[in-house]
Amino acid sequence: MKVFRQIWTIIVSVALLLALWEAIVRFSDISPALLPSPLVVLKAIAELCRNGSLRQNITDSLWRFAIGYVLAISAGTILGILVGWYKSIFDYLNPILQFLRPIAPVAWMPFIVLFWGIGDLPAIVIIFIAAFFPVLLTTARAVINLDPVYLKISANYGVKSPSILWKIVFPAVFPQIANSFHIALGSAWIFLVSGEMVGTQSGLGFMIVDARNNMRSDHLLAAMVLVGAIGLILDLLIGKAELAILKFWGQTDVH
Amino acid sequence: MYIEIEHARKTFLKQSGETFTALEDVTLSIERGEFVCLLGASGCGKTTLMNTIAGFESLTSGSIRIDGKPVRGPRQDYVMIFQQYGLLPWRSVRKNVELGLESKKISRAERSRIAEEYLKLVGLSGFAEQYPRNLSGGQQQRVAIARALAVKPEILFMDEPFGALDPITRCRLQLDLQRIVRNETHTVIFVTHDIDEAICLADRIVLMEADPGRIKNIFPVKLNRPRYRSSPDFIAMRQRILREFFPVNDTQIEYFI
Ligand SMILES: Nc1ncnc2c1ncn2[C@@H]1O[C@H](COP(=O)(O)OP(=O)(O)O)[C@@H](O)[C@H]1O
Ligand SMILES: [Mg+2]
Repeated sequence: MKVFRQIWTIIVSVALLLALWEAIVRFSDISPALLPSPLVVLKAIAELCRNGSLRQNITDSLWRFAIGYVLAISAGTILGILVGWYKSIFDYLNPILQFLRPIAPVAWMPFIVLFWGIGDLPAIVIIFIAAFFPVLLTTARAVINLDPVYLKISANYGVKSPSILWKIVFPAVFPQIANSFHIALGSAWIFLVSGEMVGTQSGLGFMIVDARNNMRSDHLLAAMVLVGAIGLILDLLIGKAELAILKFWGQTDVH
Repeated sequence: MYIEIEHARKTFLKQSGETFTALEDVTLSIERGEFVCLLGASGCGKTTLMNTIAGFESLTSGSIRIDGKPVRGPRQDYVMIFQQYGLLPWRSVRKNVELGLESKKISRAERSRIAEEYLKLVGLSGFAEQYPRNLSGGQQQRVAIARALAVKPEILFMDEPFGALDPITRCRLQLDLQRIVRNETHTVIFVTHDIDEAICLADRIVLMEADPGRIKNIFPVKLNRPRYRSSPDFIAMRQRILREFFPVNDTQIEYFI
């Protein structure tokens, strides 16, 4: 029943958005060439599907995203655990991190292009930067705030450093790490488009630039709709995984 | 004596900058195999005293020796059981019990056999493959006890281990604990603020008082086991201890659970 209700609310809210969009197109004097109606955008999506360019672009985007994201969460987790465990490293590192964090990932773009040229790498690096910091900081904080009872147990039952890191510390903070994966996925997906707007010749971000250059606002909106929809699906999937992890760790009563 | 605590003193620096004396001149000896209860109201330093004996905290001054050797830090043969069980939620019950065996040179099959043996001892034979989240509080504490006993510790520290359990589960665990430790002949130091629990379990009750934390009195408990709360000797013992807290005439004391 809960699932049906969930699906129902999604359908209604999407319908409301579409109706609002359609109403704006019809009753305002914005030219349809600038703001096409939902149906026109749907047709554009269908057309892009048929000629195969959409599939190619989505696959390329997802690949870049997967590489950047998986590298970021792996590096963020491992470094976060080390930095949190050896707290004095964290004390020195934290000011640097806090300084770097407000610099938007796109601000790195000129440097990235200078160093690595154009192609897949800039997009991957931007996704990496966007996902890496939240995972690193959350993991380090979780390790620093680890329940001291785990340390007492480790001392009593002969779990020594470094195996304490993967036997006790990592699993104990895993629910928090999983939550940071969730948050990082959202912010990294946002930056996928900016990463692909510079220098790539494919992907959803490229689609947007390409549509702008060709003044195809229907293709532009089609790409935007797809970015939103895929982001939503990824978020739902990782949300489910996170919930399953919380349940396994016995940290929630949600069933 | 097996455990010798001499003039133990422990101070903490409070956030306001003043020093707070959690333990003041505590001197106590404990025999091998003895079951000692530290009894007193919250804040009288029971946990602090136990943490220093177990090596989790160091004293400000004074000394603690176990088997003649000064305590220098936590050890694998002195294990602690906590009020919140301290199980690892990502491990099955069996893997929790095996935790302490993994650092010893014991084969996987042997670890598994030992875990089964101790789970049986605490009455959880069928639960080996369950996860802690599926167990009641009482069952989780039984797992923690099995995990502790599986490493055959010399000393068992228990810090209000039954404090989070309902009274009936609590009584049952008290009875089982007596049976278990009698068979295994460990030295047990058990913290509680429950007078009946202390009488039920202890060979000796160490009564503590706060501000600063210190020993007020020590009562040997010479009742036969198993001990029943309704027996006249039990009630007399309870009266004696209550009189320490409320020094009034016998007839004025009324104590109901
Ligand atoms: N790490 C600490 N820092 C400051 N004060 C502490 C610390 N540990 C315990 N205390 C204080 O010492 C006193 C005794 O605490 P504790 O040993 O936990 O008492 P009990 O276990 O008998 O309730 C309490 O007043 C507590 O606030
Ligand atoms: Mg306490």
